[in-house]
Amino acid sequence: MSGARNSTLTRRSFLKTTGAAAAGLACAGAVGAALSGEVLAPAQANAAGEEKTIYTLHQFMCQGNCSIKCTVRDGYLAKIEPSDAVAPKYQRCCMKGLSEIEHVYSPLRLQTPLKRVGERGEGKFERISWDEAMDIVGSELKKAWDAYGKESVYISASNEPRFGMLASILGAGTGVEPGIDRGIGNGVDPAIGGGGFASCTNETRDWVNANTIILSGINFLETSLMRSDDFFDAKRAGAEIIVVDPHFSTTASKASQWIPLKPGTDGALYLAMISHIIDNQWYDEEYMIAHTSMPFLVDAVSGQLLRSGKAPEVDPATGEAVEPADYLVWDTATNRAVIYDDPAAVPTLEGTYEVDGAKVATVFEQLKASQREYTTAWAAEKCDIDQEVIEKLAEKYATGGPAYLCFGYGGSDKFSNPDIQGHAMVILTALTGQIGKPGAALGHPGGGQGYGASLAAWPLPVDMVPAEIPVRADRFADTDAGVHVIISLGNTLQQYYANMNKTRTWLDSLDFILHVGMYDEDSVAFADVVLPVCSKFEDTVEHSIVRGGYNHIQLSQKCIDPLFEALPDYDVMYRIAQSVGLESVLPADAEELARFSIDNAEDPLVAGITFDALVKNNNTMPLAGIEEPRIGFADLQFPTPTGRMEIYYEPQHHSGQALPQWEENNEVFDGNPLMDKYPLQLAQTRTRFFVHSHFRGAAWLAQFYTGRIELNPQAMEERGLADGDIVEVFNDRGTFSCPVYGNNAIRPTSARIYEAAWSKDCTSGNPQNVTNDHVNERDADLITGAPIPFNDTLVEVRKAQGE
Amino acid sequence: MTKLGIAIDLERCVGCHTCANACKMQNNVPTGMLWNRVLTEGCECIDGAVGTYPNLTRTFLPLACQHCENPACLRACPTGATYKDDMGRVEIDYDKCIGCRMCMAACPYNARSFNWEEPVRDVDFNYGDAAVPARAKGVAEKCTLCKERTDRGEEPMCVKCCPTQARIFGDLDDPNSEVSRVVVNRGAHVLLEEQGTRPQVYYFD
Repeated sequence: MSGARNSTLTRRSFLKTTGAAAAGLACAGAVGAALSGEVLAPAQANAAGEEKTIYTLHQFMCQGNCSIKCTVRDGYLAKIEPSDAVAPKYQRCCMKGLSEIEHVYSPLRLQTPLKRVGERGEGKFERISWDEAMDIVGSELKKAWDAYGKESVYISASNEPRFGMLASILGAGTGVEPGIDRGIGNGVDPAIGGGGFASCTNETRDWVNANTIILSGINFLETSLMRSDDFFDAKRAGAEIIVVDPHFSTTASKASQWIPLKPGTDGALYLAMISHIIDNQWYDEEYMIAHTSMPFLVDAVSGQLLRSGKAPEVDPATGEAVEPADYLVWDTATNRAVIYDDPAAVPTLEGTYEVDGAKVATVFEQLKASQREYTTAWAAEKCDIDQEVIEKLAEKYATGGPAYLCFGYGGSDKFSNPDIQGHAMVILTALTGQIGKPGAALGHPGGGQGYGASLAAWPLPVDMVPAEIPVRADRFADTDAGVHVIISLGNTLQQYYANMNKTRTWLDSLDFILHVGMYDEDSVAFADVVLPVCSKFEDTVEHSIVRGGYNHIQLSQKCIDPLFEALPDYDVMYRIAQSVGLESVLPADAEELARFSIDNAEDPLVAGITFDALVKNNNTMPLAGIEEPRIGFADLQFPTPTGRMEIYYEPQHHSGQALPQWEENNEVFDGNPLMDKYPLQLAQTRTRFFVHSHFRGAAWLAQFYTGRIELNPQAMEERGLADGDIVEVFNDRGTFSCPVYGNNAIRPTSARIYEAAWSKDCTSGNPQNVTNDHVNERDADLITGAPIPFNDTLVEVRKAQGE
Repeated sequence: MTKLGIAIDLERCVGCHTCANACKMQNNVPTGMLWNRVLTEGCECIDGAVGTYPNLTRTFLPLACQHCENPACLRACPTGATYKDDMGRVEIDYDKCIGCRMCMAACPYNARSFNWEEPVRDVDFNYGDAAVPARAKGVAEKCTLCKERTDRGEEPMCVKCCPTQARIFGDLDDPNSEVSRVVVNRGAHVLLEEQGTRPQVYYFD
């Protein structure tokens, strides 16, 4: 064993590999200089420094939810390590958390309030005082209110900074950004009563109980690094982990099996698995009859489910009619249609019948018919994988004991139609009953999806509510939503919008843009006024942030004073409210708010946890009853009108998607003539190194990765490219350029770049210049609307001119 | 006797570089230098793969000082700056180091770094453990097995921070220690065994 391994290693194998990284650091520093006038005061050499230990939480952008222990020496954040105040299982902190030692002090930090002096997008600013900045903000808000009403202000919020109450206080619009992360959930959640995120129904601590775990388009070992022990513990316990991904991701490299399929064809794979399970009768009839809408009767012509005609009741709280859920099934005991929950009925799953002169069939019968063309041979060609691979996967999932069907955000969900994949996956679950028990679940497992607790909301006056904005934010450029002012919290203007050249034109038409953030990221350049916020290590009070983190309640504690002229989130929110004279509705400071939201929480999971108890317990306490992993829907009662998995999407009958039907992607599909011009799919995947565009400014992460696009060496050779060449990546929407590197892990027909790269990471332009902003025609049918198809993008790559 | 060592589970190593930054932070390692690195075996780039798509493999290889029982660096050091201490660690007495870099040439693992200039840091203060001595221009440095932590009975920072618990630290002279048991029971191997350096860092799958 050791001999075999060593034969591949030579001393040359251990050469230092930090060359690219060093260049990256130099570059980041130079760009940052534009905004950073201030230089940090040099610290004294460490020797006899005064030290204190602070327990706090790492920020929100990441799903790691780490509790950390910080050493502050002479007023500097000198060391971070996993908190020892939590059980060993939760003692975690990755290289991103550790990099905060440097990231907090980065030359790319926004240091003072700024006012635009150049054109929008040009990035020319002058430094102003907080008072001047807030005067401008107040007068611009009032100007917009007078001219167009309060609903003309829109707050675009990323995870950070966090201004929970600002939209309510200002009566502004917010939160109409469902084009991200909900693509597959659009297909899953109507069946199980979710809202679109399709969070995994069990938590990953339960993976050890599974025999099979299918991970589709999720690079779990990078994006949920803090839960990766669950992956290895499950594998060691005998689970077979199968990764479906066009690229040889880190997770694929550690899996029991990798299924390298064509990008955006995951839906075809799952449709074919349905067919194969039906053909082999591997489905669970008892489960289907008792817990799904499979036995419901549907009119073959109208596509309507048959109902008993019960009058709907009115919800006294909302005054709206409640879905009567009076569906009919075929009772084999009496040979007639009866209501599905008739205790005397013996419903059948199969057959066509006549009811009141209409030809009807069970949903399952309809499913069988609609699946006919989705054979494993058909999918093998669509996905470019072996038919046998699909058949074995179907068999394993249906007959191999408890199984997980998991998917991610950042892969196949960012095509034009991932709801079809989600719909097929929830039907696979409904066919097999792989849900609601140990080792069996469906959904997005990112971050582990453990127990979550609700905290109390600060009571605002009842008339203080956010404005209803009838248009999704990513459509503002196309559809006038009456929005004239944008308050951007974090790097939203780059992250939430595809086709950046169109975004730029729209941003130019706005009256006022306020950016609130930590770093000089792309959204800053578009702003009229920029407000600098603190990291979560800096504060003006001792404790300001409380959150229901992974299976815990966590409280922040101040490590250091605010750096530069930055202010913590709460203080910035307070000042914005104050700029229009509305601050009196807020608590005096963030600590009062934190205390209120814990001490008034009604969630039983928070039982016994108080603000004072948290402080005593080093700012973190486990939720009540988390000893066993969370198993969702253990009672097999789903929050749908019937309490069952309702897999027949009646409102989508008109588009043919009452049951999932294959639909080609918008750009990335074989036979698209656009491929002659732009033959490569641009995949923006997620990585362990960043959380969206956060940590892009961390020099300690730039040691390992600097901005680049990666191609398969075969695609490099076809284009005459060498490692480190600067390339243009382009299509009809735009272009950007950056260094290119060859990597065997990339599918030869794709170009891969990590999602949400700053323009600073590129030689010129931004990857969003080329991304697809197509809106699926079925937009109105989908519970959160069509996803932004960032990955459904074709490009060509060529050596940059002049290089 | 005590012989401290580490065994690294390559199956559980996900190449996240947390060990690299944990080490950098704890030991106040300056800009442009890492005592602890994660290589992607057989690849020029991080996160590459060996083979031809889709027949690929990838193995991450975390690499730092191997704390050899028979260290090539020690034999090369003309001043005795490099020494094997009573806990079985290979250490450097920075005061005795004359910057000849013979140790760097001798180390088959390329585990040592050299301060060609006055060290600079991305932040303008000394981070990490206050007990870690500062190194000046002209000395060699490398993984100390977190001497300051292990002296206090703590595990090295890379071991503490590894998100997948891929690293097991302990006394290789104690047959009942977890690290000793893993070395025996999991078929652990060492790097470049043929060099005869007898590393105290083991790897297993």
